[in-house]
Order: sequence, then C-alpha cells, then structure tokens
Amino acid sequence: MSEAPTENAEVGSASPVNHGSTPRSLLRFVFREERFFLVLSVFIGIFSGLAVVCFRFAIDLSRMYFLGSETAASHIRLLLAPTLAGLVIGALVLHVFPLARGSGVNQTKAALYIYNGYIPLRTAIGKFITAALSIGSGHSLGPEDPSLQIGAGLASALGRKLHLSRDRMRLIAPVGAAAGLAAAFNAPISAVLFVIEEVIGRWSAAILGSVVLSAVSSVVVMRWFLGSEPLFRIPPVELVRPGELIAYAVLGIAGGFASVVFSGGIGTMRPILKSMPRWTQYFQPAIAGLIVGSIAILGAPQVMGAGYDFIDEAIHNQFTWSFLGILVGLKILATIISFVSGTPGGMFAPTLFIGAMLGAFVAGVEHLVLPHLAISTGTYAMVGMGVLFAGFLRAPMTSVFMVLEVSGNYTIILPVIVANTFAYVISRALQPTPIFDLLTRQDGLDLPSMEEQREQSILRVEDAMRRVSDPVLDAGQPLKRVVQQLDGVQSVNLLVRMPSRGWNTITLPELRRILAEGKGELSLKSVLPIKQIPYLHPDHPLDLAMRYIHRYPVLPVVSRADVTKLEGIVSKEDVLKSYHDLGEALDETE
Amino acid sequence: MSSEEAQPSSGSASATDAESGPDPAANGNDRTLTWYSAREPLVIVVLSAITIAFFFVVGGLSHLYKRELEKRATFWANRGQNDFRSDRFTQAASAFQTALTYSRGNYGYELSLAQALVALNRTEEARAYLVSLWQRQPENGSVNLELARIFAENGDVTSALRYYHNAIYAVWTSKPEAQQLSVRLELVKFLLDHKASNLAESELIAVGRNVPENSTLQLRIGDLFMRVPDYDHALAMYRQALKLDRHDADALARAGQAAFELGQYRLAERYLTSTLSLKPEDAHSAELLKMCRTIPTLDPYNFYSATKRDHVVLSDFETAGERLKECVNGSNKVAAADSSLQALYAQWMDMKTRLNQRSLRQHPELTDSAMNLVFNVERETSSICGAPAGNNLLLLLIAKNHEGG
Repeated sequence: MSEAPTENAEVGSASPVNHGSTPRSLLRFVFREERFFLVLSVFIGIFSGLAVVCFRFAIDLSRMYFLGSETAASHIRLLLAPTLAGLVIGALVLHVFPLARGSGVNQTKAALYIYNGYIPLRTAIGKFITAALSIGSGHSLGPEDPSLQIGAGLASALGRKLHLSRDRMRLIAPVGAAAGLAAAFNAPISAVLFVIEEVIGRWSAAILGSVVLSAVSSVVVMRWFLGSEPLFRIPPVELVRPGELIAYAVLGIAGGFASVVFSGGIGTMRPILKSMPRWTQYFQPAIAGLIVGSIAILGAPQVMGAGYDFIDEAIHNQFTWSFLGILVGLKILATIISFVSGTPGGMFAPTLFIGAMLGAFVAGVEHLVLPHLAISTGTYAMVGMGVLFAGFLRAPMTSVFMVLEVSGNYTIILPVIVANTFAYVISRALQPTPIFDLLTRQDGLDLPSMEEQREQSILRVEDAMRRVSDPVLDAGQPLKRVVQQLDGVQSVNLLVRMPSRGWNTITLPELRRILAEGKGELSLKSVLPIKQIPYLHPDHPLDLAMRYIHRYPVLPVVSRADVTKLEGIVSKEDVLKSYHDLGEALDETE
Repeated sequence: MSSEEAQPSSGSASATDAESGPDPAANGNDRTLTWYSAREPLVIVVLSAITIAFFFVVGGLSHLYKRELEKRATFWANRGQNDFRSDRFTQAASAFQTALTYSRGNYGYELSLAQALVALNRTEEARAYLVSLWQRQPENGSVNLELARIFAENGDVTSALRYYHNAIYAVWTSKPEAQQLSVRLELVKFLLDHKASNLAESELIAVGRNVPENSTLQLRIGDLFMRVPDYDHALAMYRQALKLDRHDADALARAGQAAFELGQYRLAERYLTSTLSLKPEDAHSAELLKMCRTIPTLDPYNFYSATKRDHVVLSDFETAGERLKECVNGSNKVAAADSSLQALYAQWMDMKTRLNQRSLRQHPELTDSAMNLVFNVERETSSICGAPAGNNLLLLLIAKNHEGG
C-alpha cells in the first residue's frame, strides 16, 4: 500500500510485538531477530543436511542387512524382510513414536498452522528410525517426505531451545522442511518451491531468504558427504519436432488418470484401515510388507523401496514397454498398501517411479504404433516424473522446476509444461481434493488448502469503490471559497487533495465551525491535521482496505499513474456490502 | 470477535496478532529480547561448536559407511571381472550392477558393465552407459572404442568412424601406443568391411610408418594391405617381418603371395620355394609356386627365340579360343554380354584363319595383335563367365601384368 509518510509509523504499530519498549528498541529487536533468524537458517540447513546424510546411511545399511548385498535378493529375504520390519514398525509407531506415521508433509503443515511450529524432537527421531526400517526393508515408500519432517523437527527443536518468538517458531518448521527436502532430493530449487507452494502457501522476502539459505546449506552439506552425482544418469534430451508435443500431451492425459487412480486408492483405503480395531494396526505394516514382498517374488522386485536405480534403468530404456506398464500398476498398488497401512515413509519417490515408468511405457507404445518416429524414452520418463508430480502431488510449479533441475536441460521445459498441464487439469477435474488435503481431512484437521487458496477469488478495492459525487476540496484554497462550493452537499466527510501528492479529510461541521471562528481567510491546508490519510489503488485487495477502514470513514482510491487523480472512494459500508454480495454469490453457487 | 477466531486457519499471523490485543506471547517476546541481547554471540559460538562436532561425527560415520560400500563394491567388481574372463557375461553384468549400487557412478565399473552388456548383445543398454561415460570423459579411449564398435555393429558408419577416430587420439592409461595401433587396425578392418579401401589404405600407411618390431603385428598389417589391395606395402611389411626371422614360414608364404600378385614371379618363386622347404604341407604355396613356374612359359614376351615365341603365341591363342567357345556356348548370359562375346569370337575366328608360324614370322606385329586378342578374351570371359582356371587363369594374370594392373 502506498501511504503518506506520516502513516508509516502507524503501520509499524501493527507489529505483533508489544513489549512496551521505545520504537527504537523495538526496531533494534526486530532487526536483530530478523538477522539472527537468517543465521539460524544456515545452521538449520547444516543440521538438516547432516541428519539427512545419516538418514541415507541408515536406509542403505538397513537395505543391505535386510535384503542382502546382491542386486537380486533371495525370495525368502524378499518376503521376510518387509514383513518382519513391518512388525517392528507397527509396534514402534503404536507405542513409541505415534506421530511418525505417514509421510510428514501434513505434520509439518500442522506444526505451522496449529501447533505454532512445534514438532516434538521425538517425532523426528521416530521418523528417522521407522522410515529407515521401512524403506530399507523394501516397503514401497521414499525418503524425501520423512527427510522433510526430520528437517522440520530439528528446526523446531532448535527454535524452542533458542526461545524464538511465536512468529519465528511458526516459520522455522518450513525452513527446516525445505532443508530436509533439498538434501534428500539434491535439488534446492524444487525443495524451496515445494515448501513455498505446498506448506507455507505465500511468498515474502523474509520467508524466502530463510528457506533458500537453509535449502542451499543442506544441499552443500549433503554433497560434501555424498557427492554431487545426480539421482539419475540423464540422457540427452531433445525435442526433434514440435509435433512431438502431441505425444507428450498423451502422456499428460495418461498421467492425469494414473494420478486419480493413485490418490483415489489412498483416499478410499486409508479410512477403512484406520477404522479397523487398534490391535490390527500392529499387523497392518507387516501385512503390507508381505504383499509387497509377494509382488517382488512374482517378478517385480523393482517395486520395493524408493526405486531410484530402476527409474534410472527406465530412463535408459532397459525395460520392455509391457513390463513398464505392469510396473506402473504394481507400484501404485504397492505404494497404496504401504502408505495406508500407516508405515512411515514418503510418497515423492514412488510418485517419481510411477511417473518415470509411465513415461517410458507411453514412449514404448508410441514406438510400437509409430515405429518411424525417433522417440527418446529417457525424455518421456523424465517428463513422466513431472506429470505425476503435477497430477498426484498437485504441485504444478514444483513439478516443472523439479524436472528442469533434475535433467539440467532447458529443452525439456516445453514437453513438461504441456504434459503437466494436462495431468493437473484432469486430476483436478476427477479428484477435486488434493491428496495432502484429503489426508489432513481424514485425520480430522482443517489445514488451509494451498490449491484452494490459489484458486480463491480475491475481492479487490475496485469491486467495492463507488464514484465520488461530492466535490473534492483543494487544500490550497481559502476556507471561505471552499465553503461556497459546498452548498447542498449532504455528505459529512469530505476529501481534500493535498498539494504534496497526498490526501486528507475534513468533516463539514468542522469546516463550518472553523469558519464561524472567523478564520475564513486561512487556507484549508493550514487547518488540516499534519497527518495525511492512506490511499488505495483499484487493484489492491479489499482486505487491505479493511485494515484502515475502521479508522477512516472514507478512503480515496487513486490512479497508479497519478495519485492526485481520484478514481473513487470506499467506506466501511462499501467494503461490507462487497463481502456480503460475494457471500451470497458463493451461496448461490453451492 | 477477533479475526483469529473468525478465521482460525487464515495463516496471516501478523494480522491476527495485531488484532488480538494483549497477547500472552508478548511477555515471551520480552523475555526473548532480553535473552537475545545477552546471549546472541554465545548462541552463535555454541551452534558453531555443535556444527563442528556434528560434522566430525557424521564424517566418521561417513568414512565407515563408505569403507563398507567400497568393500562390497570391490568384492562384486572382482567377481564380475572373473565372470567376464570366464565368458559368463550374464553373471558378470549382474555382478557389475551390484558393484555399482555400492559405488554409484564408478567409472570403471560402469565401463565393465557396458562391456559385459556388449558381450551379451544388449547393445542399447550398453550404449546408454557408454554415452553417459563419454559425457563424463569424452577423451577416454576405451569408451570411444566401445561406442565405435556398437555403432559399427548397427551399421552407423559415420558415428562409428567418429568414435574410432576419437579412440585413436584418446587418452589410454596403459600402453597408449599399442592401444592406438590396435584401434587403428580395427578401424582399417571396419573400413575394408565397408569397401572404403582408400580410407583404409591411408590409415594403414599411417600405421605402417611406425610399426614396432613385432612379426605378428607386421604380418597382420601386411594382410590388411593385401586386402586393400596394396601389394607393394604388403610385401614391404612382410619383408620387415622376415628381417626379424628369415625362416618365418608364414612371412615367407605371404611375401610370396604379395610378390605373385605384383607379377614378380621370380621373387615369388624364391619366397615360395623357401616356404615349402620349411612347410611342405602348405598346399596353397605349392599351387602358387607351380603357377609362378608356369607363367613364364606362357608369356611369349619372355622368349628371345622367335620360334619358341611363335609357338607360345599359337598355344595361348588356342587356349583362349577354347575358353571363348565354352563361354559362348554357356548359358546365363545377358544379351549385351552375349553380343560382346560374339564379336570377340568373330575376331578370334578371323585371326585364326590368318595366324600360323609362317605369318607370325613374316609379320612380327601379329604377335602383339594375337596376344592382345588373347588378353581381351581372358578378361571378357572372366567377367562374363566367371573366374578362369588352369592356363586361362595364368593368361589372365599375364594380361594384368602387362597392362600394369
């Protein structure tokens, strides 16, 4: 909001801090906490990075000891490892780490919106242990979402130790979450975007700075210990003909439907399993493990664990198209079973897996139908990952940047945008509630839906403003002449255009009173208060007008090109009428 | 009602706080302010110390973890190498894949896996690995060579040539000169297989300038020169081999063959005689030797005596005539070839009426005319009716020798 200079001090008083100090000490405090928070973000990034490195070690060691050191584990291991690990996980989740269930994204959101940034350290530790066990033993889950929660948990614990203010405490969990996700994904931009897009839901310089600093620090730490190798070997990406975009649109459509099946399966099965007697929850992860192990024995061990190695193989065209199609179906099934059983673990990696397999499958089918076209399976698999990200996780911005960041190739952006748009639109049409919102609602929480927020229609000042019927006074005129202009004017509050590009108000009775005191020769400016009133622009959100409307009976709405040009005015009644009209319109729609 | 109560999930923290009046957290903020003022530097120092300690702990864990991975990777890579050497390529590929799960991106293991995949004829997978390796180290000789072989196998001559040339000028970690020579010879073989003799010859000449003293290698290069065909260079290469061991039967046989092809029958005879004295069972050399000894008797230009020369001319003329008659009477000839043979036969019949000892003696230029016709007959019949045998073959060789081909 553009305001007259004298208004700034008033805006400053909206700060949440109310410690009775002088404004100078207050500013010093705000600045100091701001600066300290940035420094703290770096430490959070480092700690999260280190924790994620250890988490990776734990998953790998768990895999080695559960499934053996060979690539092809024996059948007995394939069956017993996830089952026995499931039994242990079931007991741990029920008795020791009850908050470690699920992926971790919603828990971090809940910490932000419900618990003032509070995530128990025990939950982070529990997530570390149980997710390492589940992913390492072969449950069809990934390490990214748990890393996000581990990072958020560490950040929250650190914030509590350092007695951060409530505002900072609310922000510290997403900062840790970005760090955890960035380290797990080795992709800082995607992590920052995901946290902004799906957890925080709004952009501001303060949040962005902290989130970026923590994400970058964690990735640096992760690369320090684990190297900067990308998750996959990226093949040369090329878009030979613009006509290929049609084929990518087909992939987007297939991805949209696959996303609906995937999220629909989770949405349907999860409440059923949660409503079962408590004793069954001891066995649900074990039974899920048994089913996943059986799928592996039946010929698809690729569905076990995060599956990054197999994504790499799909990118490099190492599976037949029919097997890729089977893997899409089996991975969806295995992930639904693993996730709804309450086994801790994430859905990012399975989503990428399904997307890559689907992309490679579509490429295989297209090659079969149109053998003369030179189709790059790798590119399709990469685009497929983005497609599922957009369709299933419903993070459209992140989905595009994730593929760009992972592929390191700008050429892929067109196919990704085309395919992701189709997937997103189909998924939204067939499954109106995004998966994360669905899960929170099933848990009885009412967290803000970022997608709904994005789609919310915003009322603007122009929707409430009305035209000015009364004369606008000029501050330079003498009072006598001003009053002459006001014959027949009914309004009490009058707007005054100040010579210094600002605005002010005066009431008609006050004007008459000053005139009665014999000060008619004085200029209007000389009798006005020094403090000017704020003004609005037509495109400002109406919420902004609400902040001021209770203190000023009318506010001028001025042109952005010339602030002395009045476009209209708004009053409290105008604003309330607009909200009332919107409410009625929504009621009619519903 | 405050806005926080009205919109519990609005998420606009500062706005709700501003509206909600005195807040229990306010006292907390006072405490926070005091807390920071007193401890900020200390907090940063403590956090730094914790970070360093945590770094050391994770560094130690990382070291242990990497050592374990390395141990497992080495174990599986060694097993893969053993399987590869024993031609158990499936097991080798699986072992290298396992090694790679423990040592992701390991260049050597990926290369070994690619080689195992090539051996298994899974060239697409191998190519994916090799292209990725090439992107990491475009100067690596082994990777370029493997890629060249894959492209050669797929018939992509342009790409194969590019990677072969890359491999020749690439970095080889062990025995670079020998590796480069070996790649160049493989390239020559590839070029010869694709009928690119000129390119092959220029590559071979480059090789031939700096061949190490190794008779096996010299014989191999000589053989490639023979395939070009470049008999001069081939003979030179065989002679180099003979300098190392003048009783090398293989070198003698091949030198004899090269000399024979060059039309240097006396030299060929010498080499072949030596060959047979060392290796009497060499039937091919024996056959060549026999031809070497016969050819001079069929070439009239070898005789100073007019009588003998005329006799040979008449004999060659009859031999060619027989071959021509057989060819004319044979089947499977296209019309154009048939008319060409008919024309030759008419010429031959015409000359036959004029050609005898006396006419040859009276008109010595008839010798050239008769022999030209003989050579034409041999050339034409060999192209239309297939390769000749016996004396016809020898006459054809004499024809080529005289025309310098």
